[in-house]
Amino acid sequence: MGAPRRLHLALGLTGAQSLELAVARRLDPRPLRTISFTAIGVDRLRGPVGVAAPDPFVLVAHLRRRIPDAALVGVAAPVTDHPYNLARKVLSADHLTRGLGGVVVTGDDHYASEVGRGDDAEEAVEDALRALPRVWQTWRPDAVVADVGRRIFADTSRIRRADHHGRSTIDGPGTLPASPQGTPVLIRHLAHGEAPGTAPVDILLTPDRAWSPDGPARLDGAPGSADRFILTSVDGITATAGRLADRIGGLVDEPDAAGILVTLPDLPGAEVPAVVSSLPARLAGAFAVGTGDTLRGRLGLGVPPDLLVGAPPAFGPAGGERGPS
Amino acid sequence: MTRRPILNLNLGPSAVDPSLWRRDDDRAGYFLSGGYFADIASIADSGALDAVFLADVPGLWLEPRHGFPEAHEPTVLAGDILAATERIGLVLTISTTYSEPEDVARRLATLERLSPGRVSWNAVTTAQRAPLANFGRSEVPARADRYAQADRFIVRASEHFRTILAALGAPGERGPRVYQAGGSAEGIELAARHAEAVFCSTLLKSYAQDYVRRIRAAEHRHGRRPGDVKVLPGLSVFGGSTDADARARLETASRAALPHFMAASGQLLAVDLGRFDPAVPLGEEDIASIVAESEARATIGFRDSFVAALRAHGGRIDRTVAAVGFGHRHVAGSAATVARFIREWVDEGAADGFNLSFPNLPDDLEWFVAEVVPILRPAGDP
Repeated sequence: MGAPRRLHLALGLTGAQSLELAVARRLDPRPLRTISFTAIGVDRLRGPVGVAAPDPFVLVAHLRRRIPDAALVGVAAPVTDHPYNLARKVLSADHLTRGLGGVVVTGDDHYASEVGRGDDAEEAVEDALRALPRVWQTWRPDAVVADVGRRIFADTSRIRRADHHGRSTIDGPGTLPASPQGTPVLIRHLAHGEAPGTAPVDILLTPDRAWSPDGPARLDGAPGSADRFILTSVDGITATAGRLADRIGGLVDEPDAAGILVTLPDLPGAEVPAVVSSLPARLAGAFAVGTGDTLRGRLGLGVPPDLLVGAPPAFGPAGGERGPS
Repeated sequence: MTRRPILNLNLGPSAVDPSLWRRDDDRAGYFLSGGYFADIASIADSGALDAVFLADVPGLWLEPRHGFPEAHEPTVLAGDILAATERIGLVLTISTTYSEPEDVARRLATLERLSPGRVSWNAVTTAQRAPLANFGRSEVPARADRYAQADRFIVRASEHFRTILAALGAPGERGPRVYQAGGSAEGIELAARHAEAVFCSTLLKSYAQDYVRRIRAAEHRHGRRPGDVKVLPGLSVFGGSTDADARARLETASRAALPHFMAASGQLLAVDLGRFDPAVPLGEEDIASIVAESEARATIGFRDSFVAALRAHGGRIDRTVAAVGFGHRHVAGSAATVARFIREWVDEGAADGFNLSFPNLPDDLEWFVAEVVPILRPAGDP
């Protein structure tokens, strides 16, 4: 028998906790490189947050300077904003982290419901999950040729339209070349009882079975290739890094999952940097440590298939300004 | 009285040499991973410039064959630049036509919370056609409709901004600091209601002085104090160790720019100038036809400024471009000459400062910071 498979560990930070890290005077960047990724803005996943929700991708961009080489994933509810704008934010953050980025897409935007939307959240999520990778793939990975001698930056015949037609319509192309990791890692969050839909994703983030009052999410019909991460929290204890580590270390027996994403209890703001910095070291050895230059590499995820085979080119032979076709 | 000129740096790729991506070993990666923007902003920061400016269009509006387009989502890039710099302001562009006020407010409030007082929002209505197809639309809304929506958008985003910022632990009375870019009547009214500054294209000093007077009159109509809205024309700076060196640089650049301008006129002016010979004077009838054709879709500030400059140069496109530039005004000279130009426009009521661009970054910026800034801001002058 081989060694037991080890789970990936991801930490989930609320917007407020992430802000504390971003503005902390002191922050040891090394520990957060030893876990698989940190998700920014998980308050959207676990209950009403009111309006105190900073933009997770702005925080990712800021934090990447404080925590170089750590994988940073933002949580987004594609209800208040158009998926083209979201696609740009995620891909910019992914480039800035040099391919250590991604997005958790959820329909649970409590802020959105406060401003009078969110009735068709599931449809919006499904649409965004299909639209985002199409926009990200509009520049083929070989579109940037950077040929100094010929003064060619991009071979624009390799830039394609997104051709997305769903709840939203996006012709494309995106404004940025392809990510260093192919596409940012695409994670779908499922609330209790929410069906997984049909849009292909890299990871399904499902509720914690053992801790769930409502039973498991319905996974029947889930896209087969997605890894499953379990969302769990360690609320309700007096948080010190040691106690949190004990509690998180006890979760490694979760069955049938590739990893867990652990959200932390409310901590006094001043303690957040120290707790977050010391936690991964205390868990060393209990979880898988991915290696690789990109988040896909660290999680062992494959390169996503080309969704735009046969899509029309974005630029005609004449070039120039683009408008609707 | 001598006023301190405001000096902003246009960091948008459209304002810089499109060949810049070739200057770094990592080439394209230097831009994509943000290194270029952080490095340039750091030079501007250490050189005591006031702010850097990020333009944006939510769509790939120029074919990126030879250079890097405006590409990064500006608020995300701003989050990175804030972390890489100490003090310098950041003016970032977000469209009011293709965004949601709540989302914009959240992004701006996050930046404000990360680094209080450093971020301003250049609220634009986006006249380009490229974004249409990314948002399921078929036509650019009429100018009056775009600006009416922009007004409602800014009011709503400001309310959300205050609410979000208070929830993030930074309560305050004021909304986001707003810039406006546009020379149309609608743009000037919007600026007078909401903006702390306007970006504009003013190729001639006399045109610029008239533009400033229009801004001051609009301020008065909206109950604001004279000078509340700072006027910051674009200025492309060609520096050199001597005036002759700088002029030689400019002449080379202008010769190269003329065909580019003729080709790009469809975007800047919404009228294709390709049917005219740039060396043959246009008559008043031709100029009237340019004005009429461009009325619906042009960026009016660019159009009006160009037409005024064209008339001042005998209707010759080539002489106009060589003498004052296109899109934005240019100046060529030694440090003393460049400083004198900036000082003169500010002292004579044509500008409160400039949104600077340089043909060759970072070298030209380093020159400007070392040679021109000390003339404009002597030691001890705040």
